[in-house]
Amino acid sequence: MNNPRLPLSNIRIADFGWMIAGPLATRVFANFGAEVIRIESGSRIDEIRVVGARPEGIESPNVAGVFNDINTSKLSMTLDLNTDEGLSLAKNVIEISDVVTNNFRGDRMGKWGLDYDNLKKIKPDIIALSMPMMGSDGPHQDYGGNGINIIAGAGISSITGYPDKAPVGTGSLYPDFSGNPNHASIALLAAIRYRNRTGKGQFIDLAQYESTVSLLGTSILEYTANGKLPDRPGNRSQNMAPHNVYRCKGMDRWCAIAVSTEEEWQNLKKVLGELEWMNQPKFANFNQRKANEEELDEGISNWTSNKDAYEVMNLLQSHGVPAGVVQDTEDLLKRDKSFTDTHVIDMPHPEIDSMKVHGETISMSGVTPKVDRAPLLGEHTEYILGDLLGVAESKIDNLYVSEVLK
Amino acid sequence: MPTESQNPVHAQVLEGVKIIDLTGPSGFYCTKLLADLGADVIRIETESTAELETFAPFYRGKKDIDSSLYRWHFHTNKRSVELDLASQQGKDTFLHLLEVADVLITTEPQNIANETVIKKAEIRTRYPQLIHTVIRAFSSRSAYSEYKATDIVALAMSGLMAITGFPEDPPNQMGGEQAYHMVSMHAATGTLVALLDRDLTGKGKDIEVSMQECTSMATLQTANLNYYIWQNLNRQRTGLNHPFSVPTADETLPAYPKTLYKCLDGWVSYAAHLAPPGAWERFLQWLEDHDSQQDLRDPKYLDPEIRQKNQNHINEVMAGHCSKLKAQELYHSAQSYRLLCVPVQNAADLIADKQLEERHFFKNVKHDDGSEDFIYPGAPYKLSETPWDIKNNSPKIGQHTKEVLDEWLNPANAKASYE
Repeated sequence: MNNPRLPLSNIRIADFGWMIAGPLATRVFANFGAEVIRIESGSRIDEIRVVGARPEGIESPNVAGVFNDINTSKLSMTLDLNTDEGLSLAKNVIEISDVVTNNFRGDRMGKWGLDYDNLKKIKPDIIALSMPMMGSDGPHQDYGGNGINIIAGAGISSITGYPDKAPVGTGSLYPDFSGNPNHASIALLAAIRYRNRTGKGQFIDLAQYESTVSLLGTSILEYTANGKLPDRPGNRSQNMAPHNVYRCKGMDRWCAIAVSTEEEWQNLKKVLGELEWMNQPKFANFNQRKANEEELDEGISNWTSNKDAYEVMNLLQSHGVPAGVVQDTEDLLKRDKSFTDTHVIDMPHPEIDSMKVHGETISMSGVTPKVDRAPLLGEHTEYILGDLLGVAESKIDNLYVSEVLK
Repeated sequence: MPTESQNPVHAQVLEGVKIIDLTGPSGFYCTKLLADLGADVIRIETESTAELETFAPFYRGKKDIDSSLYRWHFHTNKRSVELDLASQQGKDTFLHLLEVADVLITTEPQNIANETVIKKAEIRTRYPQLIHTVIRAFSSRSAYSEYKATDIVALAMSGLMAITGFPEDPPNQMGGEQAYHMVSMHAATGTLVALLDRDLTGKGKDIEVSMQECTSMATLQTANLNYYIWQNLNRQRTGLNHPFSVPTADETLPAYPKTLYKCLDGWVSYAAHLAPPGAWERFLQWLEDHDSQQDLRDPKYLDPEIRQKNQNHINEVMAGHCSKLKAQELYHSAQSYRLLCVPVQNAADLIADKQLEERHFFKNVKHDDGSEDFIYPGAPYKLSETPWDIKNNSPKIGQHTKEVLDEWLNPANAKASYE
């Protein structure tokens, strides 16, 4: 199943991840050639196989949009880990794997005897990643939550929105798609390189809470060094003015504009036609513009409000001013043809016509990452048992009958 | 305050990897990630490039590069080499550095240096060992490839901003420059894949990531592209309503759970929509402990469909419950019932948090100017054998010029560079 030309084709991962943050961490490995084996239950199906976007009228654990997007290029085997034989087969998979990952809450792996100390006995140089919300120790170790909770708890909500209103609720379950899976991928790759050089495996303890606090930028230092709690900035920036989204022609259409340098400000003035108000001393430099931001925004809005958002972006960008339309799904699919052509894949699927998934975000010269369809539930059970573990065909049949492979 | 212990016997995982950092703000976190794992990251800078990067906030309001908390935070563990790439000598030295570097990381199209010194294609032929990671605003294959983007522009174009904010307000940026963080993490990932590849093949590769594509990955649940294809659903911002909720003028339609509730001293988040079996009963017990249950014990609510039809009412009961209590009280009492409730916390709450304290999350960093120690955010991950660490605070411009040139270059080239 491996493609030897891909850089990670010599890596195998036993992936006990479920929902989003765990599985998304191993997506990049699978796309770059690693054999990522989802070890799943066929009786307690991973909810992400079912929830969220799904085509109407099809009852199947294989067609959900998010599931298919975050599990590209992986394999799936079903095992009942609560049977001795199922657990023993899981250990056989671990024996031939480089990495074991999970994102269960609390000590679920330990209950199966698959905590790091036991994993080391199965495979001494194993790299194990565990990513519960709170990490593997501490007084709140067993606390639970999902992306909605982590973005709030870790501090991003406190700096999102307007100072005089509630923090903005999360439009995306952001931590599930950002720091948690991405930091996990980085830690795993680094640990694999260390093992390759020293022969030593290790345990990676990723607390999703901490990994999201790491995305706060300067907020912590503002408090610890200056004693100041950063305000919710709306759409403003401490380092740029103008910096906002501006209303354009049409229903709820907006274009973001961000001016960092004097040159960009001069170019913005040019595009707007050297309007008289822009030449006033109160907009002469960054400090002045920042101090008079509301009036500045009003002036720019007057110019944008009767223009198409894409026209505003194109005009400004052609003069070197950073600007971008606030695009929604429809825009990304219908107006931003390059995004669709370069990043979105029409994935064939045996149960429906096709579905859209995101391509691999990392491009590498001379290497085309594969982005293959996510696995059907249990699709590769026989391949893994037969080809990888050498279990005889008749034995596999018995395992099906005794529901070990459920 | 207890901080990450420093165990000198541990090696760091990227020790010995030489990285030249020519990034702008979209790449700062990428090279921080690699430096904090032990890579030798050098920033090529001059007083005039530093001027463009003198970003707020500032320590005690002093508006200079050495007081920039932005620099403090993002340039930990990096070394600074002062080189003017517009001069012939600077250019020559830079090319010598490329000969011995493992990785070059640049940002485009807003790049001050590299294309004027050496073309990308030439890097590949002249330095076959070198990994070149390019962080772009938009993909080089996009019609917008030469368009510039700051964080807010990328948030807008990626689709993330359209689903963030209140319906009655303009779309909102997320705090903390998340597009920069997203692309930086993907760039660090790509760089490490290329390092593993080079270990096998001996050859460096060009890596490219774009802010637009990487940030769009954060939309793929709520604004999954297939919602539009299958249900013609074009997600918009929903304020404090659940991201899966669809705005409707018809108030008789079932509502969704709120994501945040106001409490006595702030806000708490509550994730009710994926409640596991048994959660309803535990939710009721939690309300009853505080005499907040109102009529929810009525057996009719045992039916999930009835609950869904009455979600607005349940939201009101929950709002009444939260309004009586403080955030931390709600947090710990809910979690004792295994309910997914966590308060909205700010930097002060995080510093006071018991869990972070016991896990030694925050890191005391000694500044090498001898001033004092400062508390920095700590490790995003704990690697048992090769721990993350901040060993050095951010450098002054040119602080390590001679030191790095002596270490990296042969004596003749090094000497020619700084004399």
